[in-house]
Amino acid sequence: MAIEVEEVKRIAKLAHIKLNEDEITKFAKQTQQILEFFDELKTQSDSLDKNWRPDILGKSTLEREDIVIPPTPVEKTISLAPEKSGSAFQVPKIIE
Amino acid sequence: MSRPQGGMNTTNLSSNEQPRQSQFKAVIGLEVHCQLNTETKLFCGCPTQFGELPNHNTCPICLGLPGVLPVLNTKAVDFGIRLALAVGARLQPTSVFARKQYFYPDLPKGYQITQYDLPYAVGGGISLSDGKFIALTRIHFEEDAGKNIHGDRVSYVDLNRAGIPLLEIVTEPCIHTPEHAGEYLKRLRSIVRHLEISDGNLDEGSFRCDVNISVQGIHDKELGTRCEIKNLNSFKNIERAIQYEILRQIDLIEDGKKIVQETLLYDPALGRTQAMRSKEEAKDYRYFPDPDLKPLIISPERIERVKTNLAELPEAMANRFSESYQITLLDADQLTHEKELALFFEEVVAKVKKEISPKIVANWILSEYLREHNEKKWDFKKPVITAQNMADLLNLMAEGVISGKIAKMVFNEMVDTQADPSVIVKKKGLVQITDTSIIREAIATILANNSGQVGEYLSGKEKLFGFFVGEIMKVSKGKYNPALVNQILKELLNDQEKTLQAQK
Amino acid sequence: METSLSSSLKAWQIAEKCKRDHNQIDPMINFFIDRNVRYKDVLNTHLYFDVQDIYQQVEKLKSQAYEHLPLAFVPVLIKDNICTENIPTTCASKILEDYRPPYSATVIERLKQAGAIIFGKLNCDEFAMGSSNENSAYGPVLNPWDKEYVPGGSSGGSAAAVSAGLCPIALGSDTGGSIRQPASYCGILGYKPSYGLVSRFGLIAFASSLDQIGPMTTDALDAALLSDVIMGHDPKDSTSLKSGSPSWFQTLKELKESEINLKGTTIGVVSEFFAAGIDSEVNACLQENIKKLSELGATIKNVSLKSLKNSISTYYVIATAEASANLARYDGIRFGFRADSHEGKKSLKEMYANTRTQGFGDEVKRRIFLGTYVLSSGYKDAYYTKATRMRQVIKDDFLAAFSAVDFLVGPTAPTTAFKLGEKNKDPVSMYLNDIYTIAVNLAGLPALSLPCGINSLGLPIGMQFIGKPGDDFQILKGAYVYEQATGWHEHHKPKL
Repeated sequence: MAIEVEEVKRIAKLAHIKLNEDEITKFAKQTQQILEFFDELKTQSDSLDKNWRPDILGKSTLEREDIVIPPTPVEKTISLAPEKSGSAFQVPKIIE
Repeated sequence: MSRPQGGMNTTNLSSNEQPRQSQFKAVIGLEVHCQLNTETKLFCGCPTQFGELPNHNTCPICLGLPGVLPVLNTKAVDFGIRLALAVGARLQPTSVFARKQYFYPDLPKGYQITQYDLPYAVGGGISLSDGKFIALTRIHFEEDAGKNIHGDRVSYVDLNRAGIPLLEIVTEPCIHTPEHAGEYLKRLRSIVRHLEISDGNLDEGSFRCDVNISVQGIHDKELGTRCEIKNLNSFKNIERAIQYEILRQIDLIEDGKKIVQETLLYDPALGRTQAMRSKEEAKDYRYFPDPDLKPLIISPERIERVKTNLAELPEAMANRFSESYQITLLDADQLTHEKELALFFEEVVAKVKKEISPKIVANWILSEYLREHNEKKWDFKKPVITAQNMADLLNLMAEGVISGKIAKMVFNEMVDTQADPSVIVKKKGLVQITDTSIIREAIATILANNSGQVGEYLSGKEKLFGFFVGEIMKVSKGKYNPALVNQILKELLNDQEKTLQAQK
Repeated sequence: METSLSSSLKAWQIAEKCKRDHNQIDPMINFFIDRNVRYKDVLNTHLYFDVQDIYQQVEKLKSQAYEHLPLAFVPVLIKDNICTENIPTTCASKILEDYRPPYSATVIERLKQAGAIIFGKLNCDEFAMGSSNENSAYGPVLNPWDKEYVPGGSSGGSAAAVSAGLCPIALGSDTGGSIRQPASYCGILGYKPSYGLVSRFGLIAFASSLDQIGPMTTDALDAALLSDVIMGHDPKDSTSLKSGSPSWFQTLKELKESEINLKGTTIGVVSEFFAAGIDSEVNACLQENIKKLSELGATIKNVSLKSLKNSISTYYVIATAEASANLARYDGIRFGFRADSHEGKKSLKEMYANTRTQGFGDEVKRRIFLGTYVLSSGYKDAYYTKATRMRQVIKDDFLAAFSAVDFLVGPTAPTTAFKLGEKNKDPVSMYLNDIYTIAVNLAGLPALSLPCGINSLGLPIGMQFIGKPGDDFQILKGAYVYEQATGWHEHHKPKL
């Protein structure tokens, strides 16, 4: 199953990764190879019930009490930031 | 094709618009994001309190640092169950948390933990005063995002809000008028406040509403193209925005133009909706079940437990008030809109003398008290006028110490000084005068000073009775017992008439 | 005394010595410091090593009561995808260069509480994605047995460090074989616990439903000891099982002579594991060892896992899908590397794209791309949804097999270690390496690799035990029995 260049570009954009011309070709080819594995998976699993949700078996998710745990001291948090202004993270202007 | 001008009250249709609107049907769906007022965030123990400096309420988990994992807040789940029970939604035994993926600076993990194909509650709804039932599609849990603050050439990110628990409440697209939309939202807000699961503040952002709206010909079977209006921060603006958008879409359809599916913002100053600047690409959120969490299984025992402790809902409370206090359903509805007002009312009723009916209490609270409360934005937690004060004032009226008119004066003084009503009455010498001889003398003087009007009255101008009452009130500064004034004034005027007759 | 210090010392022996005689502490620590200094650059095992930090930890521990601590003064090296507070944790990526977490993983807290000395951070494949440790942004790790060969991956640094005697125990992580395969290539024991037995809080996520932290050691006793320390429910991890901490070390140590065998145990040989693709020497070695297991008292049965052939595709769909979401947080805003800093002219979108493009290596980008693809609308049902169902089929297949046997045996990898540069041109053939290990993660089973042979090139061969869910002790005991009977692990060390 061949993967269109436009598709590769769309996916790369969703993932916010830049690909040059070479990489687009390479990724398209490699993805195609791997997906040929997957295509076998598609036909194998065609016999499986389409409504089967194996992910909802088991016990209920863990819960915790609604009790405050002291937050991280802000100096520690903001010291990790590549760019900051006061205690806020700073980013290039967001255009709505 | 006239379009409503900005600034005007757009909910009143001009006579031009009414026939046009009858050719079309607006189809409206509402999505409310309601912040839960738990102590901590949905998946970590950070405090949820509002107003801290940027990033002071964060930890590695809500910051989305590498290696962290979410753990669900049990109280948030209980709050969600409360709402589902209150609106008659069906609680799903199993629901699943999903990752909704997109990149935005206020979304630290690059995905939001929400619920997608298996929400925790479906169905239910809210009845409006005219009987219309607004059906809900679903309710689900999700975490709030942080806040982006825009500067000139850069933006700033504050993640204090990131991770706060939200309930997303979605209606069926079954609303057709801005008024119904407004009433639904007010009732929903009232419910979440009664349940004590949320502050429901539109302006503080703990109750946010997005509107989905399309217009179609009255006989069309197909839905029109839908637009979404976001960032509406008051009930008034919501109704106005809807009204504007309905007409905007009608205009386009009548002009033969296509409606573009887009996200709009409402500008209250200009009174119109406008498209957001950036071109929308079709969103691909790539939802899948969050592997860091297990499914949420809500047991019947848990539901029972929450049900047993469920607060009385506005509708039930209104019915109860109407019945036990013998007040109109309309009044009861107004009193029970805010739980704290309802409790205040009940406290006052408990403290007044038997002679004061709950109806009188209701009247006072819904007029004088509520007016001041809304204007001055009173907080029930720090009362300016306590239930005891209110009751004392009404009791003074019942005892005949002051008249109704004086009571209003005293009330205003109470608002300004927060003093007790009896103290005010004493200090300002406002005790009602019931001494008939004093009243008789005063009235006689006034009649003597206004003999011309007396003459006119006696020859048929009955309206002058009010004039005399007014003059008496002026002189007495309202302290004379009104019933006695009436009675004695009538007597004296009758005497005058008899005298006149006799003279003939 | 130099003769009492040896890189062959087990963790439990080190703890015993130091607790018994406090004069042993400094020489012991210095011995291991010297060894690390001597070999870490040659093998490129380390991404962080600070002698002062080590001394500080030692001094602090000395001032406390440590007599009851099971790992007192034991040097432990940590794979660099496990968060250590204030110590650089890079996941061998440029995007986390100099990143110092403000918190430590739960396993690190527990190690420290047990008296362990965190000796440094180890190189690995970037974000644990790889099978050769050639995907590190900081250079490949070399196999101590032959420096022209890869140590395996992604926990290549951990395997090489333990193999070279730089520390008695190390932590690795395993998503599709990343503990077991490098253990096999480097001739040590690598154990991946049942999913949920070890907290993932602080493990920098690759694929959340597959990742597990596990011990990499020279023998089963040390693996048991380390398990006792790091296992047990963690309320910070919703996928953490409710069980308490085990006491496997004691149980193994207390086994009587007469109990150290495999009598009464039925071991399944998976026929699909010996199908085409397996190297002939590896095959021969495994056949011999299966015989050995039989001699030790086990009943050997043949089993077939028909759905195994779907495990690679199922794994790569699920793992890359989860990874693409887990790695979305690397955006240059709150921590880590940001492209275009101080430039100010680039837009937000440019900043995101440049940061991630420059910060991530090729394999990571490839997997993010694939994961994004299989989840995107139009493909999700065809790939991701089907893969989750196939995963359950594979799990059910294993459970059916376990109704007849106590655990399974097979090779850990189809070959021994390969040469640097040999396979990294073709990602697909690299993926095929994982064929024996991947299904285990899909099913959440416990599994370990133990050294059982050397091939004609002098490279180690590993044998894999796969246990029933939650029945980890069974395979640890199996490994212990094998070790006691053969002494293989004692007599085969790399010549450095």
